[in-house]
Amino acid sequence: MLWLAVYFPGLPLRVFHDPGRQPFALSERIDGRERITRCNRRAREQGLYPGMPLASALALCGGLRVRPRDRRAEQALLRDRAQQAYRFSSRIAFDPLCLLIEIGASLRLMGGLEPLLQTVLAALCEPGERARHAVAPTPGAASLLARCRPGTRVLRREAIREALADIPLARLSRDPRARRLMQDIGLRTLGECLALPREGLARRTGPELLRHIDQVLGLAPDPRPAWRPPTRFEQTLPLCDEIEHAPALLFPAQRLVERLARWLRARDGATDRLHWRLHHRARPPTSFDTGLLAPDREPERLLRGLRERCERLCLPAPVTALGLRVSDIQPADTPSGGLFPAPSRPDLHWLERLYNRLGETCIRGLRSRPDHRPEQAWQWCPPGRSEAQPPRPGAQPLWLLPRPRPLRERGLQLLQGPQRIEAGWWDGQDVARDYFVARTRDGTRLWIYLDRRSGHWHVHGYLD
Amino acid sequence: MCMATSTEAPPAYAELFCLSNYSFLQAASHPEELVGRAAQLGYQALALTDECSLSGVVRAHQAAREAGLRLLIGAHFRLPDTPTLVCLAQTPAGYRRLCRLISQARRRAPKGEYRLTREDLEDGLPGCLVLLHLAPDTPDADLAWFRRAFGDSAWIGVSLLRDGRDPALLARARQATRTHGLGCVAVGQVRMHARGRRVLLDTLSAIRLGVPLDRLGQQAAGNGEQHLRRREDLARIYPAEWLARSVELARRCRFSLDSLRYAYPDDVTPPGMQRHAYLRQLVEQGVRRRWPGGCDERVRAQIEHELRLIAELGYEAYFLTIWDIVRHARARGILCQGRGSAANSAVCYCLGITEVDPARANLLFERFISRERNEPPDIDVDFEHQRREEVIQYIYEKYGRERAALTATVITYRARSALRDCARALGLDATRIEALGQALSSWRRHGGIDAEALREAGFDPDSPLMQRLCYLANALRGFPRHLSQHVGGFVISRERLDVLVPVENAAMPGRTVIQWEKDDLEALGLLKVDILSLGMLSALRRCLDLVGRQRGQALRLQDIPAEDPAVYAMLQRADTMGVFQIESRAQMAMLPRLRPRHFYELVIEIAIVRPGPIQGDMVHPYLRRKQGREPVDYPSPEVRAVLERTLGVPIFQEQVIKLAMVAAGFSPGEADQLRRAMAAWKRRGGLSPYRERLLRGMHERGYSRDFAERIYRQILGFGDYGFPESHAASFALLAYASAWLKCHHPAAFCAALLNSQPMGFYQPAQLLDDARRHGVDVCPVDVRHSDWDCTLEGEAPRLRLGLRMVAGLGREAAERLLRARRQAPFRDLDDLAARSGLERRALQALAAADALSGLAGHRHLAAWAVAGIEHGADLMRAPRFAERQPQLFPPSEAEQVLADYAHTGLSLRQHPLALLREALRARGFLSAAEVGGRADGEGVRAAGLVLVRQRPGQGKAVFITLEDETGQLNLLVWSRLAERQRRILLGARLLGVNARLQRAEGVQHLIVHRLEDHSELLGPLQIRSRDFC
Repeated sequence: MLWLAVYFPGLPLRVFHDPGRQPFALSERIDGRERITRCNRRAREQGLYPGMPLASALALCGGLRVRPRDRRAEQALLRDRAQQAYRFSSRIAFDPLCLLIEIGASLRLMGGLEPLLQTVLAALCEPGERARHAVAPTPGAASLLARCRPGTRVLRREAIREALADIPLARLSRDPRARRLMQDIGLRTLGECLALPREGLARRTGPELLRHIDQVLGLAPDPRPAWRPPTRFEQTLPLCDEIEHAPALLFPAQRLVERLARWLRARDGATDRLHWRLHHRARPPTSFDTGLLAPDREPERLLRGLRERCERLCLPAPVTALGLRVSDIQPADTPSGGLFPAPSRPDLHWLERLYNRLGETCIRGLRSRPDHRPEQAWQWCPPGRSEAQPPRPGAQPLWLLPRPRPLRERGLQLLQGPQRIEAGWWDGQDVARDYFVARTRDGTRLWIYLDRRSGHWHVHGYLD
Repeated sequence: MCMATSTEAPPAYAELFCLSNYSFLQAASHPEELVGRAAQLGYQALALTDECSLSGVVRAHQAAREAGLRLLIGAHFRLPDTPTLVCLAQTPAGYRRLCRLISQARRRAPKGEYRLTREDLEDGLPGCLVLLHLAPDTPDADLAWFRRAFGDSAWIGVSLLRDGRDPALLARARQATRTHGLGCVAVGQVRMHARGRRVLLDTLSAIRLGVPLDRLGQQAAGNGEQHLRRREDLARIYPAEWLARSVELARRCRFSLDSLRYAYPDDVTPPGMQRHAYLRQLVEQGVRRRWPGGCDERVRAQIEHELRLIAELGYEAYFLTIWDIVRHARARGILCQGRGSAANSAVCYCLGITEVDPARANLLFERFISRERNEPPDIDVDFEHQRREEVIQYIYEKYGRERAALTATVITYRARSALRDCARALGLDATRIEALGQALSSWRRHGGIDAEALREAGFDPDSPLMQRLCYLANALRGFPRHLSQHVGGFVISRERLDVLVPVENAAMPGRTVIQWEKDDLEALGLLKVDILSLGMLSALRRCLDLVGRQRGQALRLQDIPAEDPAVYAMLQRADTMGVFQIESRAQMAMLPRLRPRHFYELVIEIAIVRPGPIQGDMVHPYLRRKQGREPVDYPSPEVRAVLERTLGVPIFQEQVIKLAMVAAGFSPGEADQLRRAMAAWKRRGGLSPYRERLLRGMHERGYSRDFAERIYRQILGFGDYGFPESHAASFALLAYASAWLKCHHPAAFCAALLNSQPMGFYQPAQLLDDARRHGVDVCPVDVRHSDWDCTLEGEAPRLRLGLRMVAGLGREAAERLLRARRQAPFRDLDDLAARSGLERRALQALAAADALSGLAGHRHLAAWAVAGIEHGADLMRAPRFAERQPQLFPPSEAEQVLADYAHTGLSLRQHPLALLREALRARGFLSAAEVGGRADGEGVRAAGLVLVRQRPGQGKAVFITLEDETGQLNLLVWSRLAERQRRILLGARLLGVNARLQRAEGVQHLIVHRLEDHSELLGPLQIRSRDFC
């Protein structure tokens, strides 16, 4: 076995789009304090360094842009690269910011070590990116060498020990107890550590450290879970007869959906997004998505979206084949108990149907916001997401005008009020109004107010 | 739609439900502002009714007196399942009941909270009026209970705030009157004095609830009606009957804080004796003790004068109480000494409260007590800081928690906390708030946030957000946040305290605090005593103990021989590191010029290095006259009598007062007013009324205009920052004692200082260096020999560092180790671990501090050995097999020094810079000793570790002290350079400078013209510097 480790120290910064003209740094909370963990070249020129407290960094460099480190984005980026590497090897593993690729099996195919390295590194790195790599018989050794002695090639197991002799111990282990001990007894490198009596060391640091060292040296197995690229379901069903009316699509669709359901069940997964593709003879395919509110794998529910869609779908041309692709697999959380599929949440079915029938952009929910100003007291939201708010004092109109209009009516009778509202200075939209309920001559009840700054009267809503 | 504009006079009104910002974070105006506005609006009266608190009433009372407004005292409470109740004190008895109620409620709950139930109100609060604050949904049952509980004193308070609930409230109120026969009165539930404060009120709500402003919603007030409204507006809102009732109820409340009286406890006088007679007896005893050969005429006259005044003003019990406290402390071997104006009193000297001998000094008793001042005396006593707690416990035990309590300090918003909280309320995130903190330092100096500093920090000062922030933060500064205990101010009373002022729990368990501060007590004429702590007293006592043990014979403070020429020689050399009051950089720069030769000159030395004399330009004239470069003259014999002892230059506060009396004809009372004005003139405007009086008075007595102007200028410069002579004398006694001990017993002195840390101006590392330079041998921490404290060993004696110097070793663990060692010396490390039962962390701390070298070898071997010690059950197993010892090299010298600093704060091996000397020399830097050999005026390049940064006074220059292995260097950086190279100035640990050497009169400074930061040479070494700027 031969492992290639490729280490991307600049990945955390690369996740953000940084043209590099301004000082930019990432911060993390370490031991209760915000500290800089990475910074770009401009920032380094100003005197910033990793580990510096954020407050000092801001003092030193006034125009510094800081973002918190985004580890999830880093993981995603690393997985992307792993996807690239999958072309060259099927055994891929991860270390922090580092990709481990087993290349022993591919050496012959790629024509030797050097050509392989050239190809792989070219595929993995973005232009202008510096990545450090190393090759060794164990993944642990390769990873360490990539971080500390980039460019090293160790081909035989017996040579590992020598190659790692002056690797700093701080890089070997994150275990605080072990690190502290090494520091206290004045040892710095792995080589020095290997010279210690084994039993004495094991007793003092616990078995973890020695096991880790053995793995790195190749004296103990180091099984790394192999990474697999995410799967997807993609099938196309050619049709014997061309279909000209949309509802007829449901029959072939049913077969595809059943296959999908079987496939999902085998992977214990569920999905909430189906991508349909209608192939035509002489024009590009028509595609659209149907969705569910919650991930599911029952054929009936998966098909419902298409059923709703087909009722209003107009086919631009006869369909010759039907394709279904599902790439977003989520774990199924329904326990498969009895023979019959468990009923899903009943209350949102009708919403799903509305969505599918009318389209997602046509449906909105309403919710109240905590604010004294009537025009700010409500907002649109995804349906089903509002919570009850305590009742507001004073008269509340049923209808609120989108914008208050000047009062033109005459002969009004004041029924209630004044209710004085003064709020909103914090976002620059301060209001100072006295609200009244007034009845017009024809009996309509208006919600009007006097703007205390301008002295003008306005109508803001209707009570009936 | 028209507003009624009435031409008749608006109705009379009294506000009965009003909160000040002493209801912490619930109201947006100071008590003075509320009073001022109410007076302006023509209210008949204002009641201050904070939540379960009377913290703000004294301020309100003073403001009300000045404004001519009648103030009612009260508080409001929130009970479970009951609407809010507002209680107003009608009579003195009612006030007492109210205080007891508040104390009861607060004492039951943790600090800052209170608990009250209906049972507590069973007696109906006789002497108080009670208002129930009505809500639209107040149940009938509550109203029925209310009626039953309070009978004729029960009223319904209705606040109509135009928030949409008014119609419901009105209906409910009318119904309540019909059903229960309860009368209604209009109240405002006022939280601010002017409508515009609603901005601040909303911000306070946001801070209190921990929610940004844009999410407050209904939790904020819907409008700004909760302010002191104009009576015309009130007439339009409330029924006239309810407004009239507010005045009627206010008329029933006749209680005023002016009638508050309390008496000092009488416990100390033996039964059957009169207070005055007992005091006289103790004083006479003191006279015999202090002057065995009898006291002279002048002193006797002073004693009689003081005793007469004390009797006249009725302060005997006060003096006796303090005498008792001091006596008790001395009996337990605790060093103590009175300070401040009390040192002017011969009676205090006789009672042993102070140590300044009236026979040897000119004391001004009027500074302490006078008829005209109409103020109670204020005695502050310093105790050993490590044993002050014992004194406090004694007071609590003797007088009980019923009669003794600490005074409060109201913690207010400072610039930084105000900015932080307002920024958070406005929704800024943590990163930006940090950045704002950077802009702050300029704010502190200039009084408003500097636009430039904001821009530098990445903010736009013109944006609405920033403008709002600046406005809010400025308004919030000075607002009370919470009550805390004062450092040591005690109120002790003859009867229960909690009928005089409410008492609540402090943060420390078993401590109670009254709700008033020092200033409040002064305003009401209540006596208090300050039990303060002084680090130097601890150090002195420890040193005396150590020396006594060495000699085999006890050494007391009074045994120290006076006027030792060797001591004064040492002072003139400025060899005063560790010496009380004269160890600072500024003092060390003055000593070689002033060259004190006897005690009084030491008193002057202490008083002269202060902003007052420096700004008043007294220093240079005095030095010139002392050095004989200027003739000493006096325009008249009267002036000579006042200024002779300071060579014609006024240096002490009392001299200025005496001059006003003697040369300008001020009476003692007027002179005291002048003193007070001197203290406050910078805040309140000029001293011009006094100027006229002074100039005229002096002119009448034949003094030249020149002289008069000069005196006036000196008074201006003096301000508040001059020492009273008695105070300087008290301190000089301690300074001399510590100097004598340093001079003759340097090892004991250093050990005592180390054992009394934290205190003083210098870090342990510097104190030890200084001791070693004086020939003291210092031995490192060693588990085989060290005690917890630093001790003396052997004949020489040598100084053995104690286990307290080991970072991370607790006292408890160390005691276990010492107990085990007392039984038998340690055979090896395993033996130590087994018998002392120390856990791993303690052992690691000892290994890291190199304290195990005698048992386990150098640091690396010790760490290896400690890591291999088994703990817990394995301890009892049979001895293990011998394991192979690894080969571990000892740390390098540099690593040893680094580790020493990291784990003990100092190193006995080498100074870190000794290890870097090569590198520094390569960059052209001289050592401190080498600089000392250069001539005045030369250009030099030097470098050192930054010990101290100071920016005294107006900040025209920054003073820095550097240190290397050969000594220290004093730098002077002018402010322009300081601004230009600000980052290096503030951030460098190892500072290099290009400078010009200036040496005159034995004092050396480097005037810097360029700074360089070489901290990277130090690596991870951390030296804590003391920064005063």
